[in-house]
Amino acid sequence: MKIKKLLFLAIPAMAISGLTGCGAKYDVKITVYNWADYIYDGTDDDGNIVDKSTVKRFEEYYKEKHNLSLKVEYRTFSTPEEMYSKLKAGSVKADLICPSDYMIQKMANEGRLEPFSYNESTGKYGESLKNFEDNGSQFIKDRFKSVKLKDGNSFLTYAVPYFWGTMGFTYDPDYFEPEEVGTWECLWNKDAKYKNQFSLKDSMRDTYVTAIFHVYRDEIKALDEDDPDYNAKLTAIFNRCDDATIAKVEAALKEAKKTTINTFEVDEGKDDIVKGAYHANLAWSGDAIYAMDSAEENEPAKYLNYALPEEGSNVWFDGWCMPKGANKEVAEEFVNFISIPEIAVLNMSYVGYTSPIVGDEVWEYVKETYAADEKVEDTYEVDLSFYFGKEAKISIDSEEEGRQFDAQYPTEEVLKKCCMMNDFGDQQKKVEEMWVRVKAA
Amino acid sequence: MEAVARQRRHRFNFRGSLNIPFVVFMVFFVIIPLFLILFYAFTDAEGHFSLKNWADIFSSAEKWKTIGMTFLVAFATTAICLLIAYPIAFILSNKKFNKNKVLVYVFLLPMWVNFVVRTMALKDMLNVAFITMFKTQLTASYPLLGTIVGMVYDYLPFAILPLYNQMLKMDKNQIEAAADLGANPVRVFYKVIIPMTVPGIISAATMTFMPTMSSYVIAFHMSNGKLPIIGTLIEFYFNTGTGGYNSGAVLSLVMLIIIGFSLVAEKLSDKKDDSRKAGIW
Repeated sequence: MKIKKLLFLAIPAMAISGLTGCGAKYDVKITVYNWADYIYDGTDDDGNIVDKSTVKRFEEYYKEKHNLSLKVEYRTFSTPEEMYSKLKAGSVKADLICPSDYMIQKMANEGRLEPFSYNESTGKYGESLKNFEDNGSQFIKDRFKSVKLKDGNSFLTYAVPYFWGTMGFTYDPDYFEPEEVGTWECLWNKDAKYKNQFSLKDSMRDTYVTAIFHVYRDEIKALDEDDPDYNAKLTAIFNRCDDATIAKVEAALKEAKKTTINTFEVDEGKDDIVKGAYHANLAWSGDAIYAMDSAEENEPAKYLNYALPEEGSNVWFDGWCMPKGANKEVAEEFVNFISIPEIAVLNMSYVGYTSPIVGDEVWEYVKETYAADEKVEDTYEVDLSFYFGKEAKISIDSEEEGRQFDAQYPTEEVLKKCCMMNDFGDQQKKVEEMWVRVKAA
Repeated sequence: MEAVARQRRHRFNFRGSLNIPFVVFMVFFVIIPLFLILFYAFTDAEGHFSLKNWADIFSSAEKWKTIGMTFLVAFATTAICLLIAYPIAFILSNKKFNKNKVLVYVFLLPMWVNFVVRTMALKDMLNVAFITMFKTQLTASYPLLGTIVGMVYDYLPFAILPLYNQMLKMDKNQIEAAADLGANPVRVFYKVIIPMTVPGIISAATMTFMPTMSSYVIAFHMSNGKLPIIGTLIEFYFNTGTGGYNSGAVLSLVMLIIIGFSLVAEKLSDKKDDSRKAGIW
């Protein structure tokens, strides 16, 4: 009888240990905590598994190299803020995370990140990150290097770029002319045509900067584009968050909410724009590509475009970082593996954002995907040498202007006007309160 | 020895031990989380005791507005649900119209489909209808109306079912007697039928009020993210805010207290009326 009683106690105990148990089967385990849908998972367009995922490939690669079995526990988040609070609360322990630039800055400044083997004075990564050192775009490295953190190190010490992109409008060219959505002012246009036609992000950081371009439009217009410090000056305006700016942004967002804004969303926008729920969707470039692709597959096919407003926009980066206490050796090995150009192509073709890896395989992939057919007469030429670090010219079918290729590979000219976001720092709380007021208005 | 063993055997209560999984479940998934909420609500980001979270929330006009908006949505939804559900339940409980209860299933059928799917479908449908009729989208132009429509649609079965259960138990003889004794139909309705269904009404009201108070997904989709209610605010704090767990926990407690009050109110009205047996709670 006693045994029976013990059994009853044992059942829940077993159930609980079952949730945490089974750790002994692998020699090495690491946890990778990444955005959802942000790595090649080996499936085709219909979701059928047709190939080995990136994670699986890494596990096999590791086994071959060290003869040790490795398990990658792969977890996902939907916003960097969510990731941050989970790590902070200790509900997730990760060896490798992939936050956005402003979150990297915040976490590095708070001393929550381990440095990679990067030498700040030579500007080179060590042997353990050789693939990124050899194949990473110099343009991206320079951008990362230009951001200095509180401890005097640059971004590259704490983060290895994974993907980057811009933010602009995916729009329906049958409804809006390119010039109409080619400026942030469209969000404050009183014309009936604009009413309820836009979606913005239900993400404080992204929506905040849309209003910055409106609030400081005159000052931005007055900047000299030929000034070598143009980008730095624009970035300074872009990242303003003093009390007066917050108040102006608040007023601007409240006004837009009443007139032009149809929806605050994070994920549904890329489908809603295809359905035609509204005609312009503030989108990250990868989502824009996704929306354009899926609109083309519609019956009848629909053609959407992507526009970056002329005042400038946001260029964002997501990078691999190691939280304090991570298994540095294996984490660096994972990042190094993912920087192999073949692997980068796999991930890029699946995710749709732009990889900072620029090996020959990547350039071949770009040409194969986007270069105009020889028979097409009406083409335009784009020079991406600045990005690929070698002679890289491609001719694109003129009918494709303002579409997938332009979204994925903006020109140097455009990127000059794109700024990186900073963390709000001490003003974070005030901006949050402002955001709550805007949502409640 | 034999006797001792028997005694011991006697002390072990097999039926009682069946409670153990339940108790373990309650401890892990109800009591500990509740204490965690309490802990976060009364501490600051460093884990020291603090009432600042409460001061922050209650000193802000927007938070009050949000709480008020949640009440408005919940009350409106409850009232409209009752108004629609009452006649429906009345008809359903009439054997003449609803011989084999098929109609009851017709009203419950939508609940077999996941409510997010239903909400999204309703949103698209209403928006298309509104564009053709009024040249504007319901959810984009009238977020409050959209939210209430969505809530009523989703929670109507919760109002119908308790009312229907109660009405099945109504004493039809009393209604006939009242009519025979000369009461006109209106008088029969509010003198006889309503008093007999009060427990069902209370049950239906709590069943719709509680989920609307704490709802999040419906409000988010049916207002295109433009109408803040407590649920969306909690989500924002937990996922975005600095020290968000603390402010989010305060709001969760506020919601808990409001729901607790509505349950207490239900229990109080329960005591006055001993005949009440049909409520789901």
